[in-house]
Amino acid sequence: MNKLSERMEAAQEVLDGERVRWLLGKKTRLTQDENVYGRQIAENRYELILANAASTELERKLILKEISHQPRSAVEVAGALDMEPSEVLRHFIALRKWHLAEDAGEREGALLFRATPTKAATGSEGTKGG
Amino acid sequence: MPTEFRVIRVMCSGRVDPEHILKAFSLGADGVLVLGCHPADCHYIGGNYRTRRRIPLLRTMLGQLGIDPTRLRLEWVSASEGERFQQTITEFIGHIKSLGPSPVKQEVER
Repeated sequence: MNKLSERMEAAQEVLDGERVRWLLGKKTRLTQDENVYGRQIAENRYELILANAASTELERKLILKEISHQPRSAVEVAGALDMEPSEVLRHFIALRKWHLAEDAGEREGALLFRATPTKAATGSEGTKGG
Repeated sequence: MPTEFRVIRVMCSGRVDPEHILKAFSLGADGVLVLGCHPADCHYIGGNYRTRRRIPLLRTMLGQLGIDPTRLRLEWVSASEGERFQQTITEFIGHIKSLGPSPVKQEVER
């Protein structure tokens, strides 16, 4: 399990992240104005969407911290973070899609993942996820 | 009035970024109390509404991190409500004392 200070750091990154900031900033527009289909998002539904987004982002940041130093499998990460391996694998797939994690081979039949080196770490151009 | 608190004055409660609150907890604060003007009474029109949006999210995240969410509180206290300010601070500090030191502080001291 990450140390509390590391978890706090991950939470800060979540709050700095585009997804949560976008949702926070668009509350009025989402809940009071109608969208192009003439629909509004109810206040409680918005709260649920926001809480889910923040929770998912926090889990992904924690997973990235776990695999930033050495490649690890979904089961290892799940054990360290007290999560379900299937859930970790789901996050791995999403992280790979966004080029934040990459495959790092196999160990005893389990797929290993590692965090994609960042632009700052490598000094080269990073890939922007689409 | 208790003396175990530190006032950080900002122009509007909307200026209190969630990052500031997490930073305070990271540095070992036992609790954070955000005081703002009453809703619809914001000098900057909607600053306190922004704060009202952020605090529940932060409380949820604190719970997920293993920190009691009640260590963070948002209250509406206008500049003319001196007595309410005093009561709010006293009550909050009493609550924090009952919870004990923050787990972050305990981890740093270990």
